[in-house]
Amino acid sequence: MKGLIFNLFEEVVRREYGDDTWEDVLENADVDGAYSSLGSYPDAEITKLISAAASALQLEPQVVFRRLGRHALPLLAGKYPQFFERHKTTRTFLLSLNDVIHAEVRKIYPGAEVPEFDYDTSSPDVLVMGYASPRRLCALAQGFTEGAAAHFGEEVVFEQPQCMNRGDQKCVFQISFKKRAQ
Amino acid sequence: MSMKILSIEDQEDNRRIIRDLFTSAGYEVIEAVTGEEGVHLASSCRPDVILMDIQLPGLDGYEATRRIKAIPGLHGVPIIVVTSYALGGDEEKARAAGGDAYIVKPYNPHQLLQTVRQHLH
Amino acid sequence: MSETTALSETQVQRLLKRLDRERRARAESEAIAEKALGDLYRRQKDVKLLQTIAVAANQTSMVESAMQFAIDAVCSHTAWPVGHVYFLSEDGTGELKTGKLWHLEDPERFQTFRDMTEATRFKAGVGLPGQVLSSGKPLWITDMSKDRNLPRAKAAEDVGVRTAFAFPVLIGQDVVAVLEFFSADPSQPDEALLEVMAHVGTQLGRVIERKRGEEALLQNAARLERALAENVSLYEDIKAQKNQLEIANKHKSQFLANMSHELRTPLNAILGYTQLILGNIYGDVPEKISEVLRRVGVSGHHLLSLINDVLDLSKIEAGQLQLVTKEYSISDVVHGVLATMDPLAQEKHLTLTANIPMDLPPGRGDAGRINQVLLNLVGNAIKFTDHGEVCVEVCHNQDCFLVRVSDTGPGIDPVEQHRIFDEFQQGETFSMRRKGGSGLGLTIAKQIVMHHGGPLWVESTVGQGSTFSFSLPRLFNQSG
Repeated sequence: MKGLIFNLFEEVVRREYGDDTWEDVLENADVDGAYSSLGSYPDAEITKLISAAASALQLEPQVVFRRLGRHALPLLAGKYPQFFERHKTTRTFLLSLNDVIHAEVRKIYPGAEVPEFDYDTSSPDVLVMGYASPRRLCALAQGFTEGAAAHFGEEVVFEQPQCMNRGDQKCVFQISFKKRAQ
Repeated sequence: MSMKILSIEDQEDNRRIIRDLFTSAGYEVIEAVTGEEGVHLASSCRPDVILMDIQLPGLDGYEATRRIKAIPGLHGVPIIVVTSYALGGDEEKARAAGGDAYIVKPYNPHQLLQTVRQHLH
Repeated sequence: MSETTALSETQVQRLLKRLDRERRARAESEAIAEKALGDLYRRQKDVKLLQTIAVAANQTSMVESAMQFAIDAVCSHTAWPVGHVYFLSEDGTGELKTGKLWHLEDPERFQTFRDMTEATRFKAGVGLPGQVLSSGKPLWITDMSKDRNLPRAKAAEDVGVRTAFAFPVLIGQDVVAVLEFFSADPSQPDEALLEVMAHVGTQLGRVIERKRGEEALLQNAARLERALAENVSLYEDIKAQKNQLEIANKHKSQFLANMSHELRTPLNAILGYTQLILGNIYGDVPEKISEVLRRVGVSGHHLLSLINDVLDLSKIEAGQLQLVTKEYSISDVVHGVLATMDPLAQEKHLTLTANIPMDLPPGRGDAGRINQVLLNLVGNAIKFTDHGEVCVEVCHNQDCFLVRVSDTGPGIDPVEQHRIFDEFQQGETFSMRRKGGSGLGLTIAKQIVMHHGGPLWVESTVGQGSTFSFSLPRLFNQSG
């Protein structure tokens, strides 16, 4: 897992729950905590941090992932505006994940293991995405999606009829958007 | 006056056969042994018919025939060319040289006599 | 009212820890960035190396100078002190042998290693170069002295050579040369370097390929020139032989002409005198003498026909048979033969008949020779038939005449039928011997007919007579 994710987690926790909460999480997680955004660290460390945060915040780990995604997205938009500026809707943004965003990520962060999504665009109202990474971070993906919708001023309904954590072959997201009433 | 026959032949036996044959038939026989001699005698004696052997030493029969035929006044004298029928084309060559008839050795003497008589009429 | 609260101990500790973490994270980031920059710089150098070698390789057609340039460039790039080139031996043994091209920073120091290398040939799979030869891929050996299987392990140790790498020069899939490099300092495999070296190998492969192409062209040109020279000399030979053949032919013709003349001349005397005597030109001849003289004449004629046959056959065999091409009437020829042969038929009380259509078209060819053929066939028919008849039939179509001479003679058995046309098989046929004649007549007749463009053949059943047939093209051309 690239150090960037760890950095984002730290920043989100500090902002939403305060510096002390993060320090507590670090101590309870029993990890070193010095993460260079360019470096690579074992997946087990993020799992430990999420667990520690879950117990500190009295939330389920999946919920923590979802909140991480939701709150980290604006930070990413600030760091890499070029991935957001060309889009006007969440739908097109999501569609650019494989070929644009993750392709660039691999260039900047050599060795990054990014997931590849499959899309079903047959319905203009509902975007169906398939996700099959063994990391099973569908909750993080949901958080990112909700964060992106907020960024583009849309409301999103995120349904997951299939989930690997529930024993399915892969996760399937059904995402419908509507513009938030001004 | 009897007919004059000029025999141009280098072989003695052949010469004798011709001489005996034609003399007994009433001809006057003049003999030449070489082609050159034949041409001279043709010119000087003015024969009525000429028997020309092809195989002659020095000037061959064809050339001698040509020269005799070229002598003014002798063009009408029949020249009967005698060959050994060695190769095809002898007859053509004989005619091309100006020969009027052509006979192959060994010939039947009586046939020779007949051919000569034919050409004298 | 705001209070500046002094930080608690825990808070201070936490801040210090945080500072420390962030410092370490930053340091790690810097290290990563530096490494990335370093990698980039190395890659640039590698690309430059590849470019330099590519340019040099393109500019030269001398394989040795391209190879020398390459090992010098690689040694300079890697700062390794020893570089060397092997070529795949051209003697078909599949071994690598030294190209005697070296880059040596310190020639004296590495002399023994060099000597041993030059004295060694490497088979596929043996040693550093041999393994590259069989795999077709670059190879890195971290410590040569550790691998006792390497032929040069000891020699390497003696001069202090530790790490080695080698890569192949490829044309397509084939290894044509191996470049090897040695260093005194042990180092781990440099994958990026090996990848660049693989490209260098391909570049150098192109030089060799080009050189081979040039050589092939030169060889072809040389081969063509040689073939041309051979053709020219062959042509000269053929011309010379043709000349000789022509001269030989002229000699043959001359010989035949002379022979003909020589043989006929005395015969002319014999027959001539005989005729004159019998003609009573020298006086009357008593019957007894004239009877005997007639027999002399017959023998003379017989001799003449034998001589004619032999001369004809000689002519035919010398390829000197020349046929006249003139218009003729086949019916006249047949009638002439019949007239000549009639007395003989009468003597044997045989009927001689002819079946000749009225509307025969004129022919073109050698009437004299056709006459000769017919005389032979009809003569034979009469000779060998004791009772019955001999019949001559002529028919024609648009292009040919067909002539058939049939008799009611004894017939010829199949074995004999093949032999009678062969001049060398006359001896055994007792019937031929008994009837006299040279026996060559049929052979000559067949040759004449064949030269005239047609076949001559026999159909016969023992006890039922024989039919000899021949056909001729109606219009014959000598050259055709």
